[in-house]
Amino acid sequence: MNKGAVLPIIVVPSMVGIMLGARIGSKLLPKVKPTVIRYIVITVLLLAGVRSLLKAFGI
Amino acid sequence: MEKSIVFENAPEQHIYAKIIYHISNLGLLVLIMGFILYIFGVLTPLVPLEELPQYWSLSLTQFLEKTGAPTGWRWTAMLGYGDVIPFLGVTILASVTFVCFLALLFSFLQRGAKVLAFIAAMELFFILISASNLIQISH
Repeated sequence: MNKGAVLPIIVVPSMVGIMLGARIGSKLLPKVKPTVIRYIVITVLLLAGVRSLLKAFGI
Repeated sequence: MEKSIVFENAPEQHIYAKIIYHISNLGLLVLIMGFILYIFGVLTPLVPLEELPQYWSLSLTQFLEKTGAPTGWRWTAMLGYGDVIPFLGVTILASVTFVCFLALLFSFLQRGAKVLAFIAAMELFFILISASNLIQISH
């Protein structure tokens, strides 16, 4: 905000998503098996990695 | 027989958690309300929504020149604009740490924990310095 580069159309949905995601996550955490979380994280990171690779090679 | 370990949080941790909970709720509410005012056109934005995509590719300097978007704390004088009012919610959310440390400072001073009070005071000092925009990082 100091530099004036804040676009509410992008910032507000991101912040609301982060806040709600954190709250839902903290409620779910005690109920979900750690293994399930591990596999979800691995899958999401793998997908993000594949997406980055595809982008890098222009596919 | 297994011994169960009972872990108790320090009173300051309770204070910290309570403040985070209440201020983040308030910030989230103000943020969403501000965004509704912006997105439904209740308040006129500084940059109309339909014109916004044409400024996205600009550099920051050009963006500021063309749109007149506020820098630093200038937004506080422009709260009548739809795309500035959400800054209020952002600021409330960003102030959580400051309010928490302020409460901690008083709590530590009350129970005479001088070293912890000093650390809290230092935290507050650095937060204030960074929020004041007095120190600029030049590239």
